[in-house]
Amino acid sequence: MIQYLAALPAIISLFIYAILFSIECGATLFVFAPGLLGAGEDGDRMVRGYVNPAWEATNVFLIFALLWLIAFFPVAVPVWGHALILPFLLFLIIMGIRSVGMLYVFYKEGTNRVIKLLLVVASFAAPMALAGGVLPFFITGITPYGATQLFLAFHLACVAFFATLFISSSFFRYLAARNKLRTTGSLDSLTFGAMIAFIAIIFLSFLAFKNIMPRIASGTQAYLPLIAALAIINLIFAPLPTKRCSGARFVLALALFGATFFAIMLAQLPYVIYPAMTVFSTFTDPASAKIMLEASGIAAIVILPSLGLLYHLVTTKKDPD
Amino acid sequence: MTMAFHIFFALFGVGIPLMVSLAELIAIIKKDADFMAMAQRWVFVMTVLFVVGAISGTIVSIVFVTLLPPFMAIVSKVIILPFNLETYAFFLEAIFLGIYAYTWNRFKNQWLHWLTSLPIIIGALASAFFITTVNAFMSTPQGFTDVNGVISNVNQWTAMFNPTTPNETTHSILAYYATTAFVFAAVAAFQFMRRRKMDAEGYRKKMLVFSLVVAMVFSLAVVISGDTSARSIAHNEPEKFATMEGVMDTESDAPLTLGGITTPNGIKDGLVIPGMLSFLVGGSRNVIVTGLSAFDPSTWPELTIHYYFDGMAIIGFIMLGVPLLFFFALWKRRKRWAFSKLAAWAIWITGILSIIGVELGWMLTEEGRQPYTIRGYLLTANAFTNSPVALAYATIFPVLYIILSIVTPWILLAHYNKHQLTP
Repeated sequence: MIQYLAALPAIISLFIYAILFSIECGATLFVFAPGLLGAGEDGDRMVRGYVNPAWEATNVFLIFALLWLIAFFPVAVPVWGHALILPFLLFLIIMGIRSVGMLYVFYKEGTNRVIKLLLVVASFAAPMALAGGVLPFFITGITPYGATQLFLAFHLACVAFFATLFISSSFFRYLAARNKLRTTGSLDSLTFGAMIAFIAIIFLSFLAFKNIMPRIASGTQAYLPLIAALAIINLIFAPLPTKRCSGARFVLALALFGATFFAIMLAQLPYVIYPAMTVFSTFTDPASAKIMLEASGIAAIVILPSLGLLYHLVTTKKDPD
Repeated sequence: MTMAFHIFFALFGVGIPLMVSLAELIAIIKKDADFMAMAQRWVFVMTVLFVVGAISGTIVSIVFVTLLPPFMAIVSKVIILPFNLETYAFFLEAIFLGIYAYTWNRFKNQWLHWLTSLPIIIGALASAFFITTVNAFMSTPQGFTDVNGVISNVNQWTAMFNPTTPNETTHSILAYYATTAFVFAAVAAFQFMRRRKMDAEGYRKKMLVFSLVVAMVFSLAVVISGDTSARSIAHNEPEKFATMEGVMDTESDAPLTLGGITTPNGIKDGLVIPGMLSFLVGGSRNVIVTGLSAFDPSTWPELTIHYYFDGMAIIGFIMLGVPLLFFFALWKRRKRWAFSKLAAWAIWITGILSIIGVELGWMLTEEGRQPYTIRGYLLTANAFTNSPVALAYATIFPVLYIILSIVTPWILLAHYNKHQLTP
């Protein structure tokens, strides 16, 4: 049981990373095409204000998940290293391009349209590379070169693309409403379109899983009613007036994405690499696990209140305290 | 290559928070607007370098897993704890960087704002400490039992606090602080070098003097810790010590050799000080220093580390000497000398040398451990992946690092050109 629990922080960290990374990646689209927000300079300032000061700190969640998996399932590390060398190369190249673009657009405040466009492409390609390149290996257990694996890679890349668009547009619609900015119908249309595409593709996923990956299909079976219910609620809330429900709609978007994400991740357990390695066969020694959990507990006592303080200062009144 | 680049940005990530915090502290105590402007202007450098450091940090962590699977197989079992702790320290730093950088006008009491800089300093310091313990472990591995490749009896704390940890962490972190301060001094000196009609001269003089005070204090600490560190290496890694000092035969009254040309038979044409090495190692000329011939030649480190060591030591003394001369001139009421073009050149060059010194120290540590990645346990030849994709990593990432090395200063210069100081 402890082996199952040990995998959870890594999955939760990946979930947080997916959300924050999606918002950051989506932000580049709104800087490239401010007309989508339609809130002029105020909208541009809002997006930049969200991304700065330390956008790359988002990657801490990815590194945390990676290190957590390495720490608790060390036996699997050499296999991950050998198998993921190519997908991670692709991901790092895209991240490198993206990082240079982010520095140019958000710190130098550069205006070159070509670089901005390149940044948008790299920003959407990064989650697609991560989902399409890395995830299939964990699920199928071999480097994805066969037809099934290539289909899975393409499919997961599409899921990542629409999830990024859906989460980021929902978030900036919420943020604009919170900042009392007048946005255009383009943002509503974009959010709605991304939501429809995301819902369509996740249900296509489950249909596809049924035929090509029965293990994942049966594992996700129990979560399907919840995902379907959340999809329907999202659809019902979509036409309601923007400002009043933007916060609730963003939470609903996260809930739908979260239910899908956790359904697939939990269906993967107990395998860390299917079918050769499980959380049981790769688990670290009990003494190391105990030290790691204790250190994490102590760290949480410091970090969680600090996050609370950051949230308080960012979201409350701007007058001196 | 990846680590050599990462360390360049990481050192500023450790040093700048201290400089910013000290500048704000002085501003509050002395009610000095120039120091407050200094702190506020330096925050931009801090955030940009934090971001670039995070990018290269992400690359490093992924490169470790993909390019060094056999190495990570051992690390993940024996010494993963400091990696784990480093993530939390980085979290703390990132959170408070966000708070500090964007709440200048949020507190009526400026002391409260200054307090938020402390977790950034602690987070950066702790990050550097934890990661350096892993490097120290690679030099003096302990805290596990290996029987026919099966690792057992793991004690992560023992692995972390190995014999090299105290000296390596202290020496490297102090060097990061000294180097950062020197680079700030070099930036101020650059303005004096240009000798145009200078705007905000008072600000720049304060920046120069303040940075040099910090640089001098930490350079002195670096020199002292360097001496302790060398003695620790003589004790814990005698083959590395023999190579970096060019000692071939085990002997008492061992001479100290400065400079020269390294050959497999010893150092030629160096400046020899008889008995000095024995004295430095143990306080007496009778102390025996183990020579390189006592070790199997197949386990000898790279002989070039003698140059790295000499270079690093010379730079360390220059870093101490230049501020001492500067303050000596001020003490003797020779302001014209202290703020002369020549002094500015000397400070500027020392700023660049200080970065080279850190890189040389890094090369000394790494090359001095060869042919092992984990000394006496894992050969470097066996630590790497045999995948042909590794070649792509070796080709692409240097290009990326070069681009980042150009883009980062470009962004900083563009920012400061746009936001000039007002006299």
